Amino acid sequence: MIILFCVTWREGAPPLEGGLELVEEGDLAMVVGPEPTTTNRDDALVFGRTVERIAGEVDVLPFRYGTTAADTEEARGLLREHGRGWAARLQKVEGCAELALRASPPPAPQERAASGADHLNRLVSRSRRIDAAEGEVADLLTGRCRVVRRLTGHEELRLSCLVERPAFERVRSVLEEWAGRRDDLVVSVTGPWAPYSFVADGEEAGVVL
Amino acid sequence: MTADLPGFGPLEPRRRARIEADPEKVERGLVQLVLTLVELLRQLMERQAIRRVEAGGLEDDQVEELGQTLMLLDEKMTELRDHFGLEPEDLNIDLGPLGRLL
Repeated sequence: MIILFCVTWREGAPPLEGGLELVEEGDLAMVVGPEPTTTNRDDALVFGRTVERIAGEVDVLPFRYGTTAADTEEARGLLREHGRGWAARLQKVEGCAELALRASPPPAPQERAASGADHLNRLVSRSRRIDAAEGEVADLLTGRCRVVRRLTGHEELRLSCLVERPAFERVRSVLEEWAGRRDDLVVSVTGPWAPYSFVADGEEAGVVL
Repeated sequence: MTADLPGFGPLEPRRRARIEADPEKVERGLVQLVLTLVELLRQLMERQAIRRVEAGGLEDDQVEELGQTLMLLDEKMTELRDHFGLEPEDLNIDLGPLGRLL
């Protein structure tokens, strides 16, 4: 059994080490490695770091952690079966990295709301602050990202942005400056990541701001 | 840092789920699944209530009743999570290409 890390272009595929292997088929190549004997947090982190290291050198489509194949022949078969679709998606994320933004009001006060109406008003207030934050961030990101996706969840704003690498630090600094002015929100801006949120069917759609 | 990861990659041509045979873990997994579905319903109710308030037209006693219901639900969920040693972020399901449930 082997674990699948990511798909990349065959041409320009980076040199691999640490038991990793490149399975090639057509224009694509798949990075695979021996399946870990355990399934714990450390294995997941090693997987993530490996994908990030490769994504720092070439365009990749990362696999979900835990995706396996019986052997390299089966991996090659997957490349044959899905190659056309994967190549199209690789083109859509070409030269880009993912930036993740999370913003939410600080945790609700521990004291119980004085009434049902008070509780509901707190929820409405929180929701308005998140919507307002989304509007502000959308304005800031206009023209700066290839695609922006709002991920599910109404209790916080979660955006995944597909950003061209040369513009990445500028976009990050624009968002961090905004975060610095919003002391009513807890904001995290992270990346560059491999384009985890832009590789499945339909995810390339998102919103172009 | 893991909490900030946007999620491990969704490409998923073939996934072999590992079957966890430890009875204690199976029970915990089942509780986690059930509570996740309850949490989904709770959040949907919250969203619907927020929309109704934003749309206006609710009487004060309706706002109070709705708020009381949501407050009790929230408290019950917190109790259940604490009882089973679960964190809020445990109550979610990765639906692969569809994203995360919550």
